[in-house]
Order: sequence, then structure tokens, then C-alpha cells
Amino acid sequence: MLLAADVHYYLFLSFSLFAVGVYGLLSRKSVIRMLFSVEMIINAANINFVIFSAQRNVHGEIFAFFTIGLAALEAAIGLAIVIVFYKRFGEVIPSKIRNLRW
Amino acid sequence: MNVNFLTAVMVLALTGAFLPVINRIFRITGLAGVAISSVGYVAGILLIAISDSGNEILNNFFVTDEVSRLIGVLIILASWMLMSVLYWILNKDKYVNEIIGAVLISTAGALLLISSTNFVSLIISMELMTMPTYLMVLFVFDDRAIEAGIKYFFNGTLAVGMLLFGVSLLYAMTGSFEFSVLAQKLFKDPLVMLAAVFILAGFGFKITAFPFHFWGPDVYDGTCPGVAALLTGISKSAAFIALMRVVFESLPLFGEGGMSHQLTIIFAIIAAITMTVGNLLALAQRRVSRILAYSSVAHAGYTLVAFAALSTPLSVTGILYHSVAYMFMKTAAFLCFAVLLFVWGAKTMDDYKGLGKREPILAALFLVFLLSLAGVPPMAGFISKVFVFTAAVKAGMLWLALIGLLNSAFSVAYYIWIAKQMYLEEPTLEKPVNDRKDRNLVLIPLGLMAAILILFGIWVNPVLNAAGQFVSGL
Repeated sequence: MLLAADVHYYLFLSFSLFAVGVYGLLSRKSVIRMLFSVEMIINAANINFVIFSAQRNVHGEIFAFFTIGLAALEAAIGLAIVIVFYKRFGEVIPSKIRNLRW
Repeated sequence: MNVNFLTAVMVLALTGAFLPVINRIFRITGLAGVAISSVGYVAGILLIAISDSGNEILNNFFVTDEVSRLIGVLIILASWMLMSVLYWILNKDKYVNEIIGAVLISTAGALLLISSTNFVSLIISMELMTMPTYLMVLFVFDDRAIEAGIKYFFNGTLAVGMLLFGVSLLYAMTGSFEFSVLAQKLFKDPLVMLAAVFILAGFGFKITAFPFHFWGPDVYDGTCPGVAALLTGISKSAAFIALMRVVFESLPLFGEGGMSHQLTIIFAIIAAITMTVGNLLALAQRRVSRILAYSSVAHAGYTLVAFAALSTPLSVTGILYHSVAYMFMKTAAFLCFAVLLFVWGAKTMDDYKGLGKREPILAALFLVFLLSLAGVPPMAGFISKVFVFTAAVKAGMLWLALIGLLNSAFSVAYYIWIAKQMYLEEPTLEKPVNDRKDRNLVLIPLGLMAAILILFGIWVNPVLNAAGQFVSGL
């Protein structure tokens, strides 16, 4: 059983992981890095589920498994898109492409 | 959830999943793919039609009520029409069976999404709906489509990540995934409020509400317009219904409970800004696809007006009606654009000059959908706007209804502009880019969609019954 005082550290961890993930997505340095950021955001939610599952009930831990599956799915689709992107443009830096003014 | 409804979802998803496999083994043509998937669609409609009897399973996660039954049938119909037009456009393509399979899986996800009553099922079914579309956006594999795919993928995952993080915070504070706990603790705990903000932001990405609307037009413009029809029409309408379930099943409503008041103001402001931004930016565009894309942002605003009026039961009618009308008219408008783009290569406003003479029936259908989007009486777009703005007035937000009406009047400008280009100008395009012998076949699904739109503009009972049942079940 987790002590209630410890929870704040874990919340801090998950919030910072989420913030780093959002920053990585918005900074758009490279597509691979953005893919990692997506994983970070999903795993930030996962940390919350697992940690608070120790305090509340087992539902959160079960949902964490679903979330891991979702993360794997998103990584698979994301990598497929990245491969298409790389084959087309020969690089993985999205900000160099200007058609859609991203 | 009714077991027949679940079977319908399973039939659609499995048909979609096995169609590429069958194609890989037997090398079937696109027409055989259309036939197989049509069997799936018909079976889905029949199974939903008998879903008022039979056993109930998974009751913690999904519910089968009038709303999910009505919207489910309409989603399947819209998706069927979309699939046939998409096949008509792409039937020479190597991957046509794969894209039909992806449409089917996405439809199955939309069916689950509109009936989910729990954050677990909501997220899973939203992912099921979105995942195939990430790949479909890439589909034509030119530069713009791949960029749109990258943009759509990362915005979509950001949306899901926010939704997931919000739900995890909600679980952390309450230990439950039910919609109703969101309201019980909402104004008592700042973290739950933060969770609500994250959840709303995730939905905002999906429905292209104001601060998160920027990705929408770029993606809808970049991808092939048949896929954009799926994104704007079906998946956005399903997201509206899901948001309706979240909001209405979680808040104590219809009365003096102060709870809904703060939320009302937030929704009203977002709705007003979304409508105005969408319409103003649509006026500035020259490409027809971008006009349609920004008008879909504006329509998200109209639906949010009904969300803002959530203290009156009429708002449920408004949301439902506008989702139904929006699903058909936006899907059909994008499909018309897709056909015109395929046959005539018409992209910008100048290309649309005189298309009414070149393609009389198709242009007339496009005009029907545009007028419905603008809100002209015999079509469903008019009656849905009536319900939305009446709900806003009844909830005591006359100013919001006025902004909505003003925006509605604004929006007529660019719809009529397209119509004027089609009918009053001299033709500029001489020869079709792709001339097809079976040109008239594509008019059947589009005509059917126009008929459904006009039918729902006159026959209001099904939606009113569904809304009444939803309200009485709250």
C-alpha cells in the first residue's frame, strides 16, 4: 500500500513526463522524436493509472494494459507513417516541408 | 449493450479486417470488395434494426438506446454511400480493397463510440475509429497527402493523449471511470477540474473546436477528398454524440443546479469563437476544399451552441439533429467535391465556373448539399439549426443565438458564391480530366444522400423520439 504522502512525487513525475511529451510534440524537431513524445504522453497517463490503482481499486491497473496496447498500436502506425514520410522526402524533419504551412 | 448491436459492430469490423486478407489471397477486384462490404453493411443495418430485443451484455461499458440505434443506422448508411463513391473514384487503384476495409473498421469504431458510457470504452472505441483513418489520410501518397497524414497523426495522438491523461487524473482522484463521477467531484477538487479540461481539450481536437481547429482544414485539404468526407462527416458526428453522452450523463441538468452554469459559459464562448473563426476564414479561401473544411469548423461551432444550452432538454434534440444533418450534408458535399475533382480536376473557385452546364445533375446535387449546409428550408440543415438556436434562446442565451444567426447569414455568402460560379458564369474547363463511361452510376449514392437529407428535413419524428427517450433516461 502506497502512503498518501508519496503520491505527490508520482503525480509530479507523471505531470512532468506529460509536459515533456507535449513540448516534444510541439517543437517538431524530427518525426522520430515526436513519436517518442507520443509514447511519453501515453506513459504519463499509465503511471497515474498504476500508481493510483494501488490506492483505489484494480480497475486502473487493468486499464493500464489496454493503454499499453494502444501505445503499441500507435507506435506501429506512427512508424509506418514515418517510413512513408522518409521514403518520400528523404528526411525526418517536418518543419522543412511547407506545403501545408505547418 | 444489446447483443445484436454488438454483432453488427463485429460483422462490420471483421468484414473490414478480412477484406484485405481475402484480397491478398484471392486477388479479388474492387467490385468484389464492394459486394462483400455491402453484405457487411446490410447485415449491420438489419442487426441494428432488431437490436431492441435480445440479451444485454457489457452493460457497464456500452448502452444501446434509441440514440445509438438511430445514429448507428445513419452512420452505416452514410458510410455505405461514402464507400461506394470512394470505390467509384479509386477503382483503378491497387489498394482499393484495403481502403474499403479501413472505412469499414472506422465505421465499426464509430458505432461503438456513439454507444459508450464509460471512459474506458470511450477511449478504446475512439482509437478504433481513428486508427484506420490515420492510414487512409496518406492514401493518394503525394506530398500533400503525406504531410496531411503526419499532421493528422500527431494531432490525433495528442488529442488521445490528452484525453487519456485527463481520464487518468479523474481515476486518480475518484477511483472510477464512470461519466457521472466527473460531475460529483468537479467543483470540489482542482485536479478533477484539470481532468475535465484535459478531457474537453481531447474532444476539442476531435471536433475541431476553436483553439484546436487549426489542423482540420490543412488535413481535409491535403488528403484525398473522399477520405476527408469520412473524417469531417462520420467521425466528427460520432465524436459529437460521445461528447453529448459525457456531458449529459455526467452533469445534473435541467434545473437550477448551479453546476451546469459555469460549463454553459465555457461552451458558449467556445461555440461563439468557433463559429466566427470558421466562417470568417472560410470567406477568405479560394480553394473549394478549404471552404468546405472551414465550414465544417463553423458547423462544430453550431453544435457547440446546442451544448451551451444544456440546461434545457431541447438542447439534446439540437445536438442530435445537427449531428444527423451534419453527417449527411458534410459527407455528401465532400464526396461531390471529390467527384468533381476526379472528373474535371476542379480545385479552385475559378475551376467551378460553369460546371452547372457541364454536369447538370451533379451540380444540382452539390447545390442541394450546399444549401443544406447554409440552412435553407426543405433540407435537414435548416430544421437542425432551428432546434439549435431555439434551445439557445430557451436556455436564456439570446446573445449566443444572435451570434449564431449572424454567422449563419455570413456563411450563406460563400455557399452562394460557389453556386453562382457553377450556374451564372461561362464554363472555363473544356474537357474532363477523367472521362468515364459509368459516370451516372456515382449519382445514385449521392442522390440517395440528398433524399435522406430532404427526408430528415420534413420527417422530424425519429430524431425527436430518440432525443425524448435520451432525456427521460437521464
